[in-house]
Amino acid sequence: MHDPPRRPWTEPGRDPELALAAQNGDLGALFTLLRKHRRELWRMCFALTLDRARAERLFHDTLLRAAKNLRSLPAGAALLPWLARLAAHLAATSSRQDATGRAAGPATPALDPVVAGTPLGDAERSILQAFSRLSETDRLLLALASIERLTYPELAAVARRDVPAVMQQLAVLRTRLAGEEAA
Amino acid sequence: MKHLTSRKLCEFLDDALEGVPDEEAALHLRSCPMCRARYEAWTSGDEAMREMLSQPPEEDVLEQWSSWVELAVTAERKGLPVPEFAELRLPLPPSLLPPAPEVPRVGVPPRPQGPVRFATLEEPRRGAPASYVGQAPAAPAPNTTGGIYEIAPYAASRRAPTELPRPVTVRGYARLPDSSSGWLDRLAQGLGPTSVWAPIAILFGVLVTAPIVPVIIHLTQGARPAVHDDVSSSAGAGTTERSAATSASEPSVASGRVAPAVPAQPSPPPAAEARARAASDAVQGESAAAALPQGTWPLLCGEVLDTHRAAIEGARITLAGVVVARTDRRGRFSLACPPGKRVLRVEAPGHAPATRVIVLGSKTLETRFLLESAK
Repeated sequence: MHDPPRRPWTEPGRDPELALAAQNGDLGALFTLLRKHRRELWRMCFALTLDRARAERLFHDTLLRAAKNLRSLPAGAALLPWLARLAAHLAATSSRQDATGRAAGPATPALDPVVAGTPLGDAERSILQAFSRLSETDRLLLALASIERLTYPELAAVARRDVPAVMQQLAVLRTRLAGEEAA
Repeated sequence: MKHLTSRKLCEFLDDALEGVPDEEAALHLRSCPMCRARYEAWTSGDEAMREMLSQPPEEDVLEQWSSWVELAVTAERKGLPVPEFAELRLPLPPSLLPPAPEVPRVGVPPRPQGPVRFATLEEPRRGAPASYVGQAPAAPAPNTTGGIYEIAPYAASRRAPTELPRPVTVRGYARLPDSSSGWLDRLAQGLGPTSVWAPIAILFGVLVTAPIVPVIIHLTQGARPAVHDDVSSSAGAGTTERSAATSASEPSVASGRVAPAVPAQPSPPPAAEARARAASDAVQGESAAAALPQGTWPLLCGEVLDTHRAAIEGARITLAGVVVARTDRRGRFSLACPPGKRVLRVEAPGHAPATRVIVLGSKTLETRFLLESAK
């Protein structure tokens, strides 16, 4: 029995072993692998969509895409960063499609007025509106820093960027989030 | 005074999260209201985001989502149609879900008005007409007469032929059609038990009315409805085994032969009783489904495995409290069910039961249960 990794975003744990078995057709290993990180993936999906229904769909789409393309997971790597990047990519694609659809049809509903079961106050709504204006990649980075509390090296590894670039980007994003840019 | 840059402030914020704040930046924040205000705004923004976005759904909801993914992946790899995501969406945890709709016990229709009797009927074979006519009262009732009993229709054609249990016993309240209440039946009802009057009638017939027997027979046949000789009807649970042996090889029929009422139901042999019970269980749910439009019924397929991925044979599949199927040697089951939200429960000896809420749409749905060993 293996203990779960202390830092699931960067420590692979049993991921490579399960991924290898899944790549060889072991559905049980695949399902174990996908179930292992579902909570973290859900948080990322919700941060990327800010809407529970869309987050659900993104969650499912990400896992289905992951099951199909598991062979592209780098050998020995942790699954979670790969899943998060996949989710961000799918969310960006979906947003582009939504934007295309909006040109001909009605606008998609605004920000979910109830997040995590609690009606939003003005301050929270302002923060979420600023957050919703960020790109999917930026949302992922900010969520990883603020919600998952990853360190800069971990953020750099997940985002596949160097540490100074991550630090600079985070500063810019927090400035936008606080509304300082508009001011 | 030189203010902290955004990057320095960001770094300080993240270092503070890690518990190793920069002392120089901390000193500046104490003395600079503007930077302190920025810092507090950023901190509250981070906290608000954590508060709003980090709460995962309930564990059982996550479990449902994972199950759907597994179902979709399994179906895709088997070349089966992948069910629509919307069909299985469960936005609420079970504690907040409305109670599952009560599935009526199909095959046990509402008790009709007039003379009725709880009857059983052997289903001759798969593909029989939806409307069955038979007899064989299982228990006498004071206001009933012998005759042909019409059993409420139920669907038997949605199952795969290999998975249809046979023989199938249908239980239901039987309505006595007008055409079946012949004068001989009414006469038998009025005279009492067959053991009393039958010898007298036979003696009378032989000694006194022998010349007119052909006329009586002719009249009797003319008063009864048309029947087929290839019917395998049972006179109660005690004859289930016999009827089972004959019904498998007999063609489908739609009517049954009239038989006298059975005053007391004999005890069936254990094997026959178990077999009849299992068959009855299997059909009761299915006939309950018949209460809804058949055209909209999706197939619910699935498999029941243990934690070592070995098939569990004979697991009981319960829908809304009614046992509707048992798994075969491969641990597979398949049943037709009206669309809607259903509580599916799987029980197998030596294993912990599992319950799952599913939403059936119009398409075939495949699911899988992994049962853990009972502790």
